[in-house]
Amino acid sequence: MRITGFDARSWHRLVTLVAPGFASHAPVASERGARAEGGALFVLYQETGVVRALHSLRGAVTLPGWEGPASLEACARALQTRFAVAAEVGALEELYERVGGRLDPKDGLAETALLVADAVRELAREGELHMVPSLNRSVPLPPPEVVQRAWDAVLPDGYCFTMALYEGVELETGFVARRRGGAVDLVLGPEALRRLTGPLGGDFRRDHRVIRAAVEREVAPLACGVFAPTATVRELLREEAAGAWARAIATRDVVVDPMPPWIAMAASAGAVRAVVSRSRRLFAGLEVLGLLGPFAAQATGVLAGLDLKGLLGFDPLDIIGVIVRRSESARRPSDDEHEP
Amino acid sequence: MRTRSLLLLLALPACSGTSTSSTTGDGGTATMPDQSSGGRCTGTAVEPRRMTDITSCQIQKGDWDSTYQECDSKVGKQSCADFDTSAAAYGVDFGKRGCIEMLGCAWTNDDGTVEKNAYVGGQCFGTVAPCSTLEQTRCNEQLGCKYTTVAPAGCKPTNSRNPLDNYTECGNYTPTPDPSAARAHPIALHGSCLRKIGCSFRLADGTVARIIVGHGPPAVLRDDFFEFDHHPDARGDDAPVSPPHHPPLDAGVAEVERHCAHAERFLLHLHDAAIRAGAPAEALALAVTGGALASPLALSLGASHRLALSAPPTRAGATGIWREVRFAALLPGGAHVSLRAGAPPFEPPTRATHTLQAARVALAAGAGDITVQAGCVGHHWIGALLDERADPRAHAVRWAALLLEADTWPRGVERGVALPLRRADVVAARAATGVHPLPAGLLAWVGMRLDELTAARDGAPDGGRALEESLAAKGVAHWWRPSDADDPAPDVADGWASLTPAVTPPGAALVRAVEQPRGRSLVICSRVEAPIQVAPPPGRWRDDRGVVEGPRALPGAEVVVWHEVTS
Repeated sequence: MRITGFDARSWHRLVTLVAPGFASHAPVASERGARAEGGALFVLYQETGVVRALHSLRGAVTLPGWEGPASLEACARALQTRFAVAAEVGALEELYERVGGRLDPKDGLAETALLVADAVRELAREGELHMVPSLNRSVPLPPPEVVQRAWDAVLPDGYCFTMALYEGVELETGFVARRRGGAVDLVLGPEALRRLTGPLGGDFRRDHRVIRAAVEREVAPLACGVFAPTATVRELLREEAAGAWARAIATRDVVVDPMPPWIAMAASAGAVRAVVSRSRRLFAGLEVLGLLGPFAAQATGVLAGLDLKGLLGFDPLDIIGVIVRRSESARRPSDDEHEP
Repeated sequence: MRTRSLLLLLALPACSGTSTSSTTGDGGTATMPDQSSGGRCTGTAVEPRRMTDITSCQIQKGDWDSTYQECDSKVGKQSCADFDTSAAAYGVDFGKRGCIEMLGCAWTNDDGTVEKNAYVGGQCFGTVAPCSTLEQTRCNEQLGCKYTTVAPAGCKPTNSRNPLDNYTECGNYTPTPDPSAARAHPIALHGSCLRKIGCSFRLADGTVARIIVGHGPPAVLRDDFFEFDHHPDARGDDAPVSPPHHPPLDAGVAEVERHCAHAERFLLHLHDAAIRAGAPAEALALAVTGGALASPLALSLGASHRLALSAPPTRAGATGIWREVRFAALLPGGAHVSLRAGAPPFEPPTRATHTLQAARVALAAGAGDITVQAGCVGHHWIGALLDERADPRAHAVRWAALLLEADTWPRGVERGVALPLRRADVVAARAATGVHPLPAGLLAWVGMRLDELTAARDGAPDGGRALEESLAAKGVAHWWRPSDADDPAPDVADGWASLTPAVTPPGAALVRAVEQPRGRSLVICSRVEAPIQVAPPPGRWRDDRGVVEGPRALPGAEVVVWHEVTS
């Protein structure tokens, strides 16, 4: 995979959009980091004793309240940490062992990730590994064929996906990811996008046509393009209420162009169904304005054919939402006005 | 000299090589270096008054008159022969460095070879980006341009008082081959060339300065590349080692020693092969990955060989970076340190300003033999200084300015307290971290100290942590030094431990004390975000702004140098 066209700032903005806890810290801020909320806790334990507890922001820590893995969540809460992993002595070696025994060099990235996740779930089920939050209960592991089918639906081979995020009139960050030969082979950043498109007008509601044309001309046919202000996307990812994506797309706070079938899922299938059936009142005004018309018509058409939640058994945006909301205490990447 | 690594990277879009400069002082001993011959400084130093800009004037040891904008020779007049005296008193390297830096002087080695300033004969090339073509941010970065909001708003040329800012052709920054006709110092021209958007600098010779032997850097995840041997399948006929190697500790110690010996043999074989292939021995550096303070390999090889180490990432914190780099820079064999201008895409992203701050700390800690990792995009790191078309990104200018500034920070004999670091303790700590297979080197690299990792173990060495913290709180210059003493004791140089600045709040600054021909200097680097106050120790001191005595406020990660006024 070739990743190109990102400077430090645009990469930082892109990554912290879905993982705010990864926000960059100045070296002189390490002491503040040690006092801050957040971070991740790793506990290595043997029976009822803690062998070592490491915190990603505070280093080695003591856990006076430790009473076994059942108290992991309480210990994490005491340290104001929302992500925690506890492993029994030998569990990590066992994990390596199981993964090593099952890996096949011919496996792709998705198969490998599923294999590792499966081994982790096994150990969790056997009581050797404990996690906060316990995602394994809410996230079923689909078989590789299903993941492959979903992946084919999201980004067909030979197509690309783009996201362009604006701050004011500036293209702040974004990417173009192209899939070729079954894998993503190229990721272009905003610098490359600017070179492809030439000068942009500064309004994502108009620029999306220029960007789409440039990407299709220079990279590959576009399977889906998402264009929005960064702040809007960040808020949408934090939003727990269903229908937020649908509302944003309907009001053109987020422009999706072209709109593939699976975007119906991202726009919250429930909310869209509500629009077109029994909850017309919710978006009545928008319908009158005609804003929702094309989207709703297309979405209703595709919902019957594809529902990623139904396919995978979980909503990928829900997972991102859990991470983002739990990382809410992390510094927002807005204090970088001096960034070159 | 020190800036050459980055500057060459900027000048060579292909980024095919690494160039470095000579190293800093001699490893922090508390005694004066031996006198030695080794060459002499010849030539006629160009009169400082010929220099037309402040940087050239200062490099040429002149006294800049800011009222009349001219260089006065009276105070700083110096002859080439003066550097022979410096060499005799402080070592050949020191005298040679000063001689080569002085325009008009050259160093003649005992074998008759002559070493001159590398920038003389170099060439500044490219096309200066005109002010009118630059948007606001880039405009204010460009020498000789300023963005004005007064209608008609736009980027306009300025008439700077510094003539080097005003050139509109890159060729104007090419040093003249005849030093006697020069009106600007080649080092100043070189720096200005690189700060001018659109210009690049090509050195006259392509001499290999450093060859890194081994796997990396950058190898960012593992502290040694045989650590996968923990996997039972990789151990062959060796007996399995039960995690987490304690208790008892013996099996873990044996395992760490086995890894270390394996890596050491491999690196030394590579080293010998490189020499047989014709590589100059003095240019070789052995790559040791991960945190050097947590590496038995670094302690084994560092006594006899130059190591290539990577400065910790920003997440290690200012203190963590300072400790590692101080240790590396003062290893007996010396060290080549890689600074990070970006990060690999699989690491948490790092802002350009934060990598700059981390580099500032590392340079203040004494890193003199450096490479800037991710100097160009070919490293596949995010945040490279050059973009895909080899155009410098905005922060490249800031890096050039930082390296230029750091080149003026004092170098000489390090003074202060050398804290002993016993290899046996490091081996024991690594064997007993209890977090295998999480590598101790990785954990140390993100700021976790070995003594922290092992603190819960009965009988674990305290690692001198209490002593280190008390010295830091007092503002005493200190560093870690490899020692095999059974009963290690700190080596306190007479009089230097009392040479401490007053820091408010206490311990908020990192301090380095340097003895050099012109006297004593303190490099003070703040390590907290909030502004702090520093005041010089008793005596007459001048800070790098030229202010005699008096306190000075420092915001986070800033560096200030105090020089003792001896006359």
